Amino acid sequence: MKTAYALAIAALFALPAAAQETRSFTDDLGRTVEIPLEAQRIASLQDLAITVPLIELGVMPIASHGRTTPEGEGFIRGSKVLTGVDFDNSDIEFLGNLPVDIEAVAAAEPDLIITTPWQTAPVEQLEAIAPVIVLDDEARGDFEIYDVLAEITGTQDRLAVLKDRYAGQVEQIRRLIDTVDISVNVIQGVDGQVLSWHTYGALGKLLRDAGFTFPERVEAIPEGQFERMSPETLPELDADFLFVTYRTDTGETPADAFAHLEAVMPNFCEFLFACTSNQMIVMPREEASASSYYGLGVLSYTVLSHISGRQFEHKPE
Amino acid sequence: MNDIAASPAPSAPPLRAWSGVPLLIAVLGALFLLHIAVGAKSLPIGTVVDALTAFDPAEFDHVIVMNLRLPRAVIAVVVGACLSVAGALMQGVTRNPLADPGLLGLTAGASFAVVMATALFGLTSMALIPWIAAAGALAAALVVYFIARWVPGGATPLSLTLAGAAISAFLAACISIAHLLSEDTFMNLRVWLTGSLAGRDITVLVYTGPWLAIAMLLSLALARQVTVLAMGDEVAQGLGVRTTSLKLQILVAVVVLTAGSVALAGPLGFIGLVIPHVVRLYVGADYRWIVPYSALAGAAYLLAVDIVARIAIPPQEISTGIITAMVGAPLFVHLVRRRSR
Repeated sequence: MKTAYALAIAALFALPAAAQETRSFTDDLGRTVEIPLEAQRIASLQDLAITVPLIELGVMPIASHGRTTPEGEGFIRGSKVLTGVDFDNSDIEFLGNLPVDIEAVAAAEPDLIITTPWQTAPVEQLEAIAPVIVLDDEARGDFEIYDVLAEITGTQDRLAVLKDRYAGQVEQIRRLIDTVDISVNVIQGVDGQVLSWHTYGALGKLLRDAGFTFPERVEAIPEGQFERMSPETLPELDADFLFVTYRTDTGETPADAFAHLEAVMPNFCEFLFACTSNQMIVMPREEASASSYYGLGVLSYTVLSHISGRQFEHKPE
Repeated sequence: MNDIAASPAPSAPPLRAWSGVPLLIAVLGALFLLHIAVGAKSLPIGTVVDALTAFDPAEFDHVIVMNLRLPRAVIAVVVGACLSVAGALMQGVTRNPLADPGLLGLTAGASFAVVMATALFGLTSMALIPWIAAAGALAAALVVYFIARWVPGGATPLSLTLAGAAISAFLAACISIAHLLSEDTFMNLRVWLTGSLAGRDITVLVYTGPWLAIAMLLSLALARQVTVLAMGDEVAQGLGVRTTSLKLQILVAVVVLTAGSVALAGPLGFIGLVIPHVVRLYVGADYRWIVPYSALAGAAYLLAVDIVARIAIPPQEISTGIITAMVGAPLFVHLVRRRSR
């Protein structure tokens, strides 16, 4: 009943949007949608994949999906450290998590809703509020989604600047580090298993764009995917430099990154060349995993400061 | 339902029952060795033997055997045995073939208590987890019992099963709500809640082991009386069994066995339901045989299931609980159909 009421209200709110100039857009579900030519009130239903990129493109959504702290406070995951913007210091309305609150979406009066397949709020209900675009961030890739968001919001110029800056950062790494001769990998201990990715978010993109090599076992993982592996395969995931991450939004510290691996494999350090050689690099997961050009900048200087201009050993074959 | 449980196959002759014990122990031993010999990394059998006889902590292959595979195999044996015996006792005392720690709400109660204590109240002490799980299992068992007793007709096998299903569903919903309220803290419990032997902390066994051993001995000691109780309260009382006291002792044993298992490996389904049925096909209705056979067969079954979970798609692993459900559900349907013929 509440949802029906909300949808009725939403239909009224949708009227002004209908009056805007529109264009056709085909989303990642193959749906052709009439969207505003210049959307002014965008609701994002995925914080990391949509909200953060929108803010980096200079488009402030009027409402966003977010997570909740144990105290029940909403936050945009990673945004505080990546963009400086969060619910508590902006006019962005908190829409809830999975699924977002449909009534809250309606109350925000968006003229465009951007969601992903990960979000469980039904598209059919959202369509009654405003035009809905579904973008498959996982299929597109963490940074390819910037291209489509820039096209939707008319911010291609801003994206070009971000891309140029990143290209300069990658060039700097290539100039200062002989990346082709250095193997790297990103691992994480979870639930008795070791996680490894073909390309781990922004960090993986930077490492691959810069030309570092990866262990054979990692290259065997299909692009865009990760695998949970038995700790028995730990040496196969070893490299000259190993990256591990910890979650800042849950109050973790670098020690937690090692503790998770220790829980998976007692005395793991003794069996990893990178660890015994003091060539493990620990960093916050938000910057390492988020789709963020700011994050890429932070990571490029982290990689530079940890690997360039220092003595290190190569993992024996 | 009552009739099926109360009048299963006649007891096997002692000679037949005795002859199965060494066979079952041999199968268990073979599966135990296989469990520590195979895994994501292929190890020569000589390396496995070396690891067991001359452990070198600097040798990664030895560490795999001693620190990863061996503790996991031990936990599989303990959990498999405990859940099977708990299921057998529950089926005997309730005269309900569908009774098991999962269906009567004990597993859900233990899981709910551990989830609330760790995720919402930040409990990290391994020493406390078994107690929390026991309190949850006991509370759930009592709630199920009183609900079943409260409905017209009293605590019949059917009302107990329905009350157990309702309480399990209710507690699962509560866990989901807590998950929604604190999504991130639940990430750490996600795999545990599916029932998994991967990465389990062997120190939990240090705290649960003594209690599980006592409960197992108590179960073996009570087995003869459970056989009498399975014939009905009136018959048991007529034969001089103090049924109320016996049921209380069985409840304690079942709660400890279930809570210890959940603390070790999360909620694993179908083991306590299926194994006693399989055992009955061989040894009949005598719980003096059903209980020890269930312990051995349950341990062997969970070892076998965990081997499959580890080597089905190497180097990835499947949660053991998913395999127990995938194997247990059709096996149980087959057993029910076979008994009904």
